[in-house]
Amino acid sequence: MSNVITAWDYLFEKNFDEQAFEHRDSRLMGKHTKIAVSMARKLYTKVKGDELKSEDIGIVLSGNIGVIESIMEYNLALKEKGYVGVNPSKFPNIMSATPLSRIAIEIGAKGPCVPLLSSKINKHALMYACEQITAGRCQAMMLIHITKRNDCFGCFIEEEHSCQKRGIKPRLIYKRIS
Amino acid sequence: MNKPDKHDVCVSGVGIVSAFGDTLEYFIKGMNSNKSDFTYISDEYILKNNQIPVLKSSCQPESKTPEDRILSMGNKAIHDALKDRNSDCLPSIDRICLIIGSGMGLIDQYYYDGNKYNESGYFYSLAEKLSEISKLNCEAVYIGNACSAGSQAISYGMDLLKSERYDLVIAGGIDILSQAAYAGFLRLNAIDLDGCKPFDRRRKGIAIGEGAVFYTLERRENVEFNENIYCSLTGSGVTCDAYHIVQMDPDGKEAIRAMDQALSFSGLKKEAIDLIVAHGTGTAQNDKIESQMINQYFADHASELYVTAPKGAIGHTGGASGAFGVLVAIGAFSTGIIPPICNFEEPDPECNVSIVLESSIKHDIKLAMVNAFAFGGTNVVVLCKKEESGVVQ
Repeated sequence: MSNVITAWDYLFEKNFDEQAFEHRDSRLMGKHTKIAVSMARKLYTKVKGDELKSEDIGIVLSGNIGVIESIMEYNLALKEKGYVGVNPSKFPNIMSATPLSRIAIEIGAKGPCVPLLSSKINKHALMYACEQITAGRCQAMMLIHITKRNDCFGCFIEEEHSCQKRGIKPRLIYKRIS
Repeated sequence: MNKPDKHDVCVSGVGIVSAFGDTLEYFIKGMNSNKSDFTYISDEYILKNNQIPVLKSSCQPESKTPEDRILSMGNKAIHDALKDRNSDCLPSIDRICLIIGSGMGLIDQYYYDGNKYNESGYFYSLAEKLSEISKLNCEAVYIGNACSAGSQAISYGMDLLKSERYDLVIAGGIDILSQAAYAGFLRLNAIDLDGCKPFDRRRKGIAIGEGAVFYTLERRENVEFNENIYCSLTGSGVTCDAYHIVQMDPDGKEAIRAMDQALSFSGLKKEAIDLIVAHGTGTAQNDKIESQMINQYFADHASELYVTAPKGAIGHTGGASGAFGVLVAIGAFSTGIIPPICNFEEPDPECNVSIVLESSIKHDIKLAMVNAFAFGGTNVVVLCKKEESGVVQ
């Protein structure tokens, strides 16, 4: 069985309505995270993710600038007021693991999840996803890439038989290149 | 035990920068001494909060900036791992991948530069920078998954070698003393200013540490010529709690699944495990949950294995902590001694596992499980197996 891509989508920063974004912790989340979570929602719906077991879905969050806005906000508070000026609820936002965790909680992904960071195009984002499926850690991986402009691309990669069970047609077949 | 296979992933070289020094020998000696060597640093790192006890890497020359510090530590550990592996034959290896696990990476450099580093990619360029200064002609990958980053780098390296995408992987973890992290953990009341005491009834939190550990990983077929095999890595499990951005799921179900996945990939039974190198952060809730998980998963066997936790001695090294866990396992394989949990004095009835107490224990360890659980809920478990021949002393 091959790994296939069953859905992809784009979300451009200029088209993203931050005010319309609904989430319990919205006030604590940076725009980068909100965009990533929005993309995850779209893809999850498209591929009927709720028909997959949560253990069978993993996530790769890839990007080249990531949580920089949160880091700068945090640093500013630290510089002006010392550690007492830091909002403990926003401390996790400076870590790349946090937007990933927000997505995982949102779609209930309990498979392998990773933030893969690079200043360049990151072919390992796709490679990591495929390795996890091939190794048998999960059946599907959601890959979300966010650029420095907060433009976002997402795709859903899975085992061919996994999408067939849900009545979803593969759109691309992934062929390994070394 | 299953038979050696040519696709087994072996550790052929080790490079270390730690609070106990920069060799395996110093590290093992330090771990077995049952002492943590606090250094007090002032506002060089933590603004408006003087004299903070931290576990600073002792061999590190004073660095001018956080970027200098992380790059020089990383370069040294990578260089030493390659030297240990015998890098003379590197030119003959075509497919090399460097995988860096770091929770905080270059975050503190922004602060030092007055938040002016706004250019694209700077923050995420750690792996590329380390690859460049190490003069390695290789792919560079940066995994930023908080405290499980180092273990996840090793796990991914194992995957890449098993699927034969690369012939040599240099993988490990690194984090420096970070004022950003320190300030955040202080505000979360997660720091124990009297030192980290994993699984102790009096535990109040973490101690801040720093360090770097990198390994050269190769398939057995490529290292059979090499007597320098520290251990084989037989399996890894990677799962996510999908529960909370900072808290572990109290039911531990996904962390247990990571343990089971690692064992299942290795083809070994849980009864074969002698040692657990626990994540053991010294926080009230996490140590309790980890103890419960060990008891639940191992059932009757839980009383027959040993549990140790290095964070009492070296502090929480962030993204490097899982990689340091593997180093503790290697130390136990090579010396037959399990280091005690530093600062442990009072048992906690809620952490009822076979922990190594005040002094080290002699035991021939054959299979060790290394746990790493991160902020964000990622659980990574790596299984390390002693090599019956060729263990480095």
